[in-house]
Amino acid sequence: MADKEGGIHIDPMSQFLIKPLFGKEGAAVELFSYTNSSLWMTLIVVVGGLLFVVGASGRAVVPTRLQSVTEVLYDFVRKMVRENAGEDGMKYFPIIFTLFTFIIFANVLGLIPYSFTVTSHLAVTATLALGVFVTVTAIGFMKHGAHFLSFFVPKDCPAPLLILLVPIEIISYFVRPISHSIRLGANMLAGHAVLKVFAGFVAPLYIGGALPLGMMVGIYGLEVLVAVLQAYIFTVLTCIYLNDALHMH
Amino acid sequence: MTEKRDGESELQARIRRARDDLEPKRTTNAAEKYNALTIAWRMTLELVVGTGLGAAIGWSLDELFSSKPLFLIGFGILGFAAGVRTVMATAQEMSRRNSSDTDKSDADAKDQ
Repeated sequence: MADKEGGIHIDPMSQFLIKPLFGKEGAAVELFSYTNSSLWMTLIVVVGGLLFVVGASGRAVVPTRLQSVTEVLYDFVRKMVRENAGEDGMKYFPIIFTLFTFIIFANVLGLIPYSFTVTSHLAVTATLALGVFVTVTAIGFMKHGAHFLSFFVPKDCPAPLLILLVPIEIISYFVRPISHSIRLGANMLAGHAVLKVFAGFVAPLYIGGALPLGMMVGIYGLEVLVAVLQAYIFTVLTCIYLNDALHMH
Repeated sequence: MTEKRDGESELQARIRRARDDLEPKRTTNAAEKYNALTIAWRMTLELVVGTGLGAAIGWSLDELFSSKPLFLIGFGILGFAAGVRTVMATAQEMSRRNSSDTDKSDADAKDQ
């Protein structure tokens, strides 16, 4: 990171730049340009798909290591959906499992040095969260019809207070997709930026650089935890929102 | 020595105790502590997002009707209330999950 004149040169945000991979150097990102973000999304889908196709193709009674990984992931999400969204939420298990796989692979593949973390961009996480929000709301209306609107009316509430409480309920419903997306995006962004800041201190400090390097090892370990945990939290919240839409209150 | 249960031989009691020792103990490990931190961040975020969203709605309504800062104040307060409402819902959900966790471990204890 240190430039020619020496000294500390830290640029933690350049790793999040989106660049088109084809065409001239420094070309603008257009609607259909294939960027580093697109490349890593492709890799996520390919690696995730390969893991499950190859892992599940053996169908051994005594699973191999790869098969165990797929079985553990599948079972983990299945239990999560059943516990949080109930039996009738199992209908939506495939989409939730897909979401979980995409996010966990995005987070973990993003930890590979020189890779690009797709989920560090709010544009990506907001798209995922909005997808969940729209789908869940649509499910609520399809299942309950106009009755779903009573979701915004607190029970046993005196009529005059409703003027105040209904807007509060509606705003807090719209808080969901925002906090849903910011949590994932900000967690990934912050962790990677912190790693880059520490990395910037290593080279200029010569022998003293061992200290930030040691810190980086610790933070990297924490980042692995965060990567998996954030994927879990995103999915579990999806299940909870789905449960609200299916069963209301 | 070990306390014997009804109809248990000395050997059976020792086997049971050895098995209990092998059971993973419920402790507050790093992951659980981190989980508490996650909940704290989640609540903070919900509070801030609620207020921000309310303020944003109010501000846009003010732009629309050029009535600054009437709606900004009103919806800012509403947004804060919505944030508190969301945080309370999160807290409720956490306590529900905790109680169901202890229910489960109680049931497990009964099974054995």
